[in-house]
Amino acid sequence: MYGEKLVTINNKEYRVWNALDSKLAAALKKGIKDLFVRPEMTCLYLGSSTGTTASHISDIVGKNGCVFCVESAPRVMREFLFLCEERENLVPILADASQPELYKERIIKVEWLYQDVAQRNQVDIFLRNTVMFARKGAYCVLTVKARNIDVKKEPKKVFEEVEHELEKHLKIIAKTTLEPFQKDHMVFVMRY
Amino acid sequence: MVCDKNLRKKNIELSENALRNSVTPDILMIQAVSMFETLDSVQEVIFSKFKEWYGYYYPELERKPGNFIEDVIKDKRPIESLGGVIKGEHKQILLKNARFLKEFSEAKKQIDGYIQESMKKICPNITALAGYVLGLKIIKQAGSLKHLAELPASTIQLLGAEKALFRHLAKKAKSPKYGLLFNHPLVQKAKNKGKAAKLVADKLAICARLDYFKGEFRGEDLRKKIEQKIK
Repeated sequence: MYGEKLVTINNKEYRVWNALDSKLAAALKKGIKDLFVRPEMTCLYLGSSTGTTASHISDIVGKNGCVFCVESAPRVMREFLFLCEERENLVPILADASQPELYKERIIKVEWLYQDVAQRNQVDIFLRNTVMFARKGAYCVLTVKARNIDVKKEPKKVFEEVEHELEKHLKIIAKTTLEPFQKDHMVFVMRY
Repeated sequence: MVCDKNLRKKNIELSENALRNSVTPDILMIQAVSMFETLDSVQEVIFSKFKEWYGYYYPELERKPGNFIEDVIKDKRPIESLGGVIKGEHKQILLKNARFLKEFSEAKKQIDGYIQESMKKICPNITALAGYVLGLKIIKQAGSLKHLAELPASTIQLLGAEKALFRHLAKKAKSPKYGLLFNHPLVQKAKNKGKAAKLVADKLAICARLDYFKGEFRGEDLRKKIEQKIK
């Protein structure tokens, strides 16, 4: 789909999920055992960009699942819309994730939520979307980029503060940094 | 759960419409100026290649005054030229290439004219204050006219100096005083360039908002105000 390798095992074709292209793949490589995304789930993906990672989620949930993808940049949404033509379980939403009120009628409650947006207030955006769209008991995955939140602070400190903020609303199941795939990133896997 | 087909269809429609409506003149101008810059850098390379090639046919022409490419197309090579005897297909391809280069230069000029005219129409205030080239560079750096109109003057002052700014924030480097605005004539002339950049950024923020919200024309006045203050 984006030039990734294809592998055939027992007559079944698999797409290689490259840890350098996708932060979720990097998280798995760094020892996150389970992202809790399963076939037939309804998902919300904030910051889907051109849909590299979204296409893998789309594969996992399968044709009985559904992935709502929110992206604010028109230029990358253009590529994403072409991808949606091929994958019927992807739902495109060209909107700003920091204003969930504006697209709340366009999404149903989800069982899995993932956010990867490069914004200063990304934790706030994540929490507001979680409260609005996640079912009780839904699994949520968040990637945090320390340098987006505060370039002056030590990444470790930023992550601590983020964790503290997240703990107020969700139960943290696992977390990991993404070195050496991404610099100053942390992935949190949580339950709402 | 299977996707609700109607919900998906509605979302695709809404996204497609929003995508279509996201194309604004400033985005087109940013693309044009980016093409212009590329053509400009390529032009030097291909013109020097062509001159090298042509030099085997009529080396004296390059030293003559006048428009080089025009003269190549006229093809008036004196017999006493130091160039080799080049005839038939060897000469044809040279002249064909010259015509391409002429069209290349014209295309560049057309883009330049287009940018100048559109900037005057769409961003009259910014153009009056910063000129159409610099004005567009600043819009490009901000991402769009909308985004530029939302930025505070202090950010506009440092557009194009992001690297230095983050070096300043992360380590203890000196803070930058100007980015793209360094190229503004008033900043160039000023003794205290930092202060001049601040003044220009200040007024540029006003201009961007005037242009984005289609307000009155005040660019010229604002420019004069800066000139007085700098004196």
